[in-house]
Amino acid sequence: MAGQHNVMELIIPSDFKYLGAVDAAVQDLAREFSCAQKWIDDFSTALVEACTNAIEHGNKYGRKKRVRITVELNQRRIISRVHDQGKGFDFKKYLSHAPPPDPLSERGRGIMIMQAFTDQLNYSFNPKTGLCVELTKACGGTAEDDS
Amino acid sequence: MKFSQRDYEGYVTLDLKGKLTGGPEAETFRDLFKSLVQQDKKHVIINLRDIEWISSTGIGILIRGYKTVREAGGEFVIVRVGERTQQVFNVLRLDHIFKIAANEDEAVEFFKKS
Repeated sequence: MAGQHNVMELIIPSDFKYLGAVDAAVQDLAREFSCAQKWIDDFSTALVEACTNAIEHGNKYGRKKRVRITVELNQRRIISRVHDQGKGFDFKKYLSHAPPPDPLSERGRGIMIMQAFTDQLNYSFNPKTGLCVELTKACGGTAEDDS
Repeated sequence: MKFSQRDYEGYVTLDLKGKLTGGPEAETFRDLFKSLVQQDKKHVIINLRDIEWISSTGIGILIRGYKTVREAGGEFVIVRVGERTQQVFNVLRLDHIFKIAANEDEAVEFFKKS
């Protein structure tokens, strides 16, 4: 896949039923680059989690609010940015000092999943445009490694 | 996510299918577990063979079901976990919470010993 570069943009309503479309789009894009299936699955798991948070915590399921997702894939890495239209949150606290959730808590595992399945997780907030989560993962393995 | 209910060796078995992501299915699942416990069906097998992937909200659904069953004195066993879902379970160390078995027979053995 040397020299190839691809960018994709998706805009979805604030509804979990569209998460499958996000996963499918990333899977298709990464397969075009012959990425290893496990690598695709790991990244997509993190991306779906970012979209879940954007829908639930950012847009609070708002019917008129959208989640915008960009995915940029080249021979070195994949970067995805997930933008919601919410009011943001104290992400510095969650990224550096958040204790692990109570084992029996029904919530609070999203950031753990994103951190585990990516190399870098960054947040930024703009009052005019909302929260942006950036997920980065270095390319690892090709489809030939699956066989 | 869709699901169907069947009986396996006298135990309630729920076959889940699709993407376990939360949303409206969370309430359906909560009501189902309450109903099962009220019917004294406290041991439940959750078959994840046809689950493509799971999100943190999907895990919340499973934990709620687990707590409902355990608080009623029952057991909750997850079987046939796919590779992608297993990765998430590993990261979150959910094997420390859920009993995870290879298949329904192993789950039944666990129920009989518990």
